[in-house]
Amino acid sequence: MNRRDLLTRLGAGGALSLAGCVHAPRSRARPLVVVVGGGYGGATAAKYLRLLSGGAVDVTLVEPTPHFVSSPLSNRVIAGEMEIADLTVDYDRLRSRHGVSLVRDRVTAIDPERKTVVLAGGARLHYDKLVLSPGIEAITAPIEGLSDAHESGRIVFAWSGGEETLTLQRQLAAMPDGGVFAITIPESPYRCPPAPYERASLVAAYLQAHKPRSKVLVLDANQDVTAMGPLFKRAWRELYGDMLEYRNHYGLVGADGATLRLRFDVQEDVHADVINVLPPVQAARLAVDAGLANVNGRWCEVDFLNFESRVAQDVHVLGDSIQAGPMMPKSGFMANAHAKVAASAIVAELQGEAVNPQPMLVNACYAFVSATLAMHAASVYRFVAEQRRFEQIPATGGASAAWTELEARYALSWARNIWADMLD
Amino acid sequence: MLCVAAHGLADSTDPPTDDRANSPIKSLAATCAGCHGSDGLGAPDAAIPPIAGLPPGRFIESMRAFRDGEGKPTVMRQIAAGYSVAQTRALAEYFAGVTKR
Repeated sequence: MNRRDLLTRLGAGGALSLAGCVHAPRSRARPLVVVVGGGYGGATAAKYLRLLSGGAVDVTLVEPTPHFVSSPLSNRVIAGEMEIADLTVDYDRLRSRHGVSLVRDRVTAIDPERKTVVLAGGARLHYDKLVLSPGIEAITAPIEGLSDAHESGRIVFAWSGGEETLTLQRQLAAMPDGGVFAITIPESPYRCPPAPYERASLVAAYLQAHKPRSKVLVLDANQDVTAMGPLFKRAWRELYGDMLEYRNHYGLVGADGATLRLRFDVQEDVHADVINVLPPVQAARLAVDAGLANVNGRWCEVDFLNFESRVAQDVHVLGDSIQAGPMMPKSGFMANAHAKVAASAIVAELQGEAVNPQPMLVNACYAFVSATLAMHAASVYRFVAEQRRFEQIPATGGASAAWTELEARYALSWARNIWADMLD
Repeated sequence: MLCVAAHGLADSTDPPTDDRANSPIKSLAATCAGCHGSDGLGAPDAAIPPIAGLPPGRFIESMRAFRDGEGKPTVMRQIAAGYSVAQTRALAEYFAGVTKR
């Protein structure tokens, strides 16, 4: 089978199995970038690699799930304000509009020496450039009992796209009035700083409307709310009063799925009717196993001009799994921003052109405090050549003065536009 | 001449339009896409307005107003502060030239 046949079959879409097929090294004429992960970073990278190269660079996106499901806004599903379908977008337009080859599979290993990746289905793909946007994985070992509790489905994380989001929504729907919902928050850095507080707020709103004698306990390992602190605390006071209690310095050391008890390093145990543990996280297993997570064994160090791994040549890492610069949060918005900088740099390198020496990143996070009210935090970053990293432009960092209905409309509008930027 | 003056583009050191697929202006414009959609072509009925096709003068004036804290406070007050006058001008020209796919 020649390359054209292979690509035609890949382009036909669907879950194509490449078992036993070795993809031969590329001819110099058309470079190939393999993108791993179809989330905020990977999908954006795949599309922009095609756009910015005018179609001269071939792109294969490897993603195991059949549709994109957003984690941002998923707190609204947990609170019964939205359906999973509202967070779901098809991958097909990446192929039909932008000519990205879609492979529904999972990458199990990376060989940077040979420049190949191995798929769970058995195939091996060769790449000229590899873009990894694999996300994060939970570190459960230090929390006794958590792995078992999670396996059993009694305690969910609901921290990456889809199924567990629904489980948590159902657990809350089934909770009796007067019950306690406890959410534990790991030490920073973690994926999406405001999201746990948004979740607590939205659950409080749901309970206030449907089970008003219930309580929300926010058990935070950090010394204070890690994002929009004054705004969240004021919102909790004004909107939920005694219903929501925030406790800081709560370091989780144990979680029992059978008894629904949480153990902490210093404080007394806590029992709740529904428990949501947000575990400590690190770069996805794939990146760690490939030796790319060279910062504390947890995060991948990259060159910020092109997001190339400092450990492996021609491997570019985006999104939550990187060691971010100062004041750079882990967020879907950032992953989308990383991807566009990386795509431009990779296309330039492949075409023998100069890499943009002044990339910029923008981050804007909307957080809901109730079903109809939201607020934002945002920043703009410029690349500082002497430091070889992004730094926040001082006048740009900050948040809304208050939560409003208009901000809630902006939040929903933002989601539609960024998903289109990624997938349309 | 009149046209140039009206748009405030009297600076003769502005670089010529870059039509390459992977130009610096493309990368700069892409920083707006996360909220305004690819090439500023966000959904027309959405709360966040599309910016493709805006007359350059209006784009520049809006960004100035955001930077000066005028009008309704939105995230744009912070975002606009991240772009220089020259960058704003370049973006205004770029988005004015974007037409629907």
